[in-house]
Amino acid sequence: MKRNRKQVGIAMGISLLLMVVSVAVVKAAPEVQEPPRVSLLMALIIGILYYLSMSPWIANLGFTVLYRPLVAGALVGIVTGRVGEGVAIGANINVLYLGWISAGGSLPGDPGLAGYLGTALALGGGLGVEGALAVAAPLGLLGGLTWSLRMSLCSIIPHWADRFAEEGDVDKVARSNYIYSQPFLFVIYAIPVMLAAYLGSGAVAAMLGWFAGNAIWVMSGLYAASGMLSALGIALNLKFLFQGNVWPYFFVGFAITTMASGGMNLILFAIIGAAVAFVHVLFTEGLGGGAAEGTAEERKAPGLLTRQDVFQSFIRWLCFSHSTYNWERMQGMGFAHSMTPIIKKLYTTKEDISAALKRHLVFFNTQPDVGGIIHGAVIAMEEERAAGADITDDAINGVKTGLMGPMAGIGDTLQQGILIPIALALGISIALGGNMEGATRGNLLGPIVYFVLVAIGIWGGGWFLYWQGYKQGRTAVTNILRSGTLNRVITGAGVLGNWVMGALVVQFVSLSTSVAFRIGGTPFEVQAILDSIIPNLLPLLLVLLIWWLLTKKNVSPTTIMIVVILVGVLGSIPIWPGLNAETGEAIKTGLF
Amino acid sequence: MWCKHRRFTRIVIVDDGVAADSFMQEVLSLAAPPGLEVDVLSIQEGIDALGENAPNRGATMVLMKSPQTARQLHDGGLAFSALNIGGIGSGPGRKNIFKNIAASKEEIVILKYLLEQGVEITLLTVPGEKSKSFADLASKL
Repeated sequence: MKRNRKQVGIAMGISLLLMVVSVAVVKAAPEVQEPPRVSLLMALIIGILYYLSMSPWIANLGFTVLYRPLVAGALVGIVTGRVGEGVAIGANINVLYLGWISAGGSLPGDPGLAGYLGTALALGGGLGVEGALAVAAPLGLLGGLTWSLRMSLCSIIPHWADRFAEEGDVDKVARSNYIYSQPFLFVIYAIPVMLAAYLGSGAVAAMLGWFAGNAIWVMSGLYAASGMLSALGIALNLKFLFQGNVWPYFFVGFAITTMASGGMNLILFAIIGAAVAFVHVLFTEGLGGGAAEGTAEERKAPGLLTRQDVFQSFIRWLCFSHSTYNWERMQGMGFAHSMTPIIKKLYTTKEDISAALKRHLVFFNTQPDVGGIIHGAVIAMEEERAAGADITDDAINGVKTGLMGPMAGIGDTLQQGILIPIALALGISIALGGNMEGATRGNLLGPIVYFVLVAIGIWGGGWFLYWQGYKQGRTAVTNILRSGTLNRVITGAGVLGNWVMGALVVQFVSLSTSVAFRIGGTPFEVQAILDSIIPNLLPLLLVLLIWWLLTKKNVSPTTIMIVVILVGVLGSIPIWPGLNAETGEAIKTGLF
Repeated sequence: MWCKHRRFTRIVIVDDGVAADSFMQEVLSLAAPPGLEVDVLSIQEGIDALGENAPNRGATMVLMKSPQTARQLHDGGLAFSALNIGGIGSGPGRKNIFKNIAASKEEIVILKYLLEQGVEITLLTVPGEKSKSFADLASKL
């Protein structure tokens, strides 16, 4: 057991070392305003960071923190010596992935790839903040290729583990979960990103240079498309939020932010939103608490395990739940690995150990943080079984397969649907200083605030549920659900989510038209007329249009993304009537 | 997720095991999103409650654990016309037929049987993704 702990320590050490190396590279990088040249070393570090974001080494903060473009952009910025721009670019790209949810083992697009490679190409190619999203968005689609490869090839490893389980070798089963898949994952994640970042930035720079010389409207097209793609990110989030009796808060958020001319502190705005959410929940669901009384009976533990043992199991699950994720068993390997400290402590004969390992190497899939309550309950059952109680394999399996679905539904709602989007919205807003347009320098505090919020939720909440599961056994699930707290949290988050999304429309979606003409002698500027009705009307309509296409017409996000980019670029061909801002002469202009 | 996607208002879970397990019934009804009706029925109850003569109780999603249950419902007189298969785990004697959907030989026989009975079978684990038609796969299995 000690040895395992040492390995976790070494892994964390390596991660830290990489960060230190990155900082050293920053120090070495010269402070010039030309696009930074992405050297081979920088590209390698970017590739390694992308691998780390899909790796188990950082206690479940790889996928939930490093994988998000807000953080990825900041790290790429640090590596290339352009922290401010990196943060701003990452924050912009992340708006597209605000409502991104990976459920049931699917990966719809790849925010990590868009974040790392997109930022590297936008920085190295000299595209800057405003146009980054139009380059990063198509990159995100490529991630699906490696995902299928990974999920298929990792299906081989469980068969090795089956053999080790037959031999009753606990350590080998554990190793096959957290070591054997990693070299392969490193190759498919780090190497392609390294090459693309190294070779791609030069290509992007050359291409943009050509456009700037020969067809400048393409550049304004990319800027226009980037501003509109943010609307897709918000609309994807609204797909889950804009319903029930909480949708009006979206318009409240939009209206208040518009009245403040967009220059609003989103943290303060979110505090008001949280208070409103509290009042809303109070009126619709009541204070609750009454139903929960008298239900928190505690299980009598046989005393074979200590809190330390349960914590050892928790740490393994927290880190390695997805390290050998595959189509065949999903998190089955991760589950068996998390049980290894428990099995070692409870069982002594080879037969018992082998049987327990095989029992837990089967198919398992849930949401890792909330699903931990199942592990707690299973540990409790294993402990009672070892103490002589008559608990069959079927009973243990029944708890696992019965609870993994409901816990996944609740967990995905809480983590991917509530915690991450709201923490991201705050982080992005801090990163861009609350004022998106023209913010070419981002604030590093944004990604840091995001990291702290998510770490508290995942580490703190995860351990709480794991421990409750062990202490109360499987009734922990009904006890926690029965109190009704969950529904109040979901309703409250719906209010706050709509409220914040309304503000984000104003802060992040940029769409305006430069079409203008004269009737008689009077200049007639379309945008000025729209502004006199409701400022930010076009961004609002665009978000609602995309939301409508997504939910009512079942148009896929990929199709919308491609159409938006095409409309942005083609719409910028200067064939529309416009007026020169200074002289008032009639000229040809783009739509936007 | 499925409920928001297709606007179901009621979920019926047909499974003899769960129908006899009051703990799991409570978990399932507590875990469902608010406003959704959840009923757990045995196979026989399912045939009675979902048949043509039963009162219409709104858009209903019927969940089953295995193709075996689907066949029993179908043979019991519940003539459904479409069936979607979500994620089914793998294990000894089972092979993956599409992404994370696995089936045993016996289950493939049952699915082919249902296909012959005119049931349209799709494979889709998460709403919003592209679904695969079982008819396209059947010839290769």
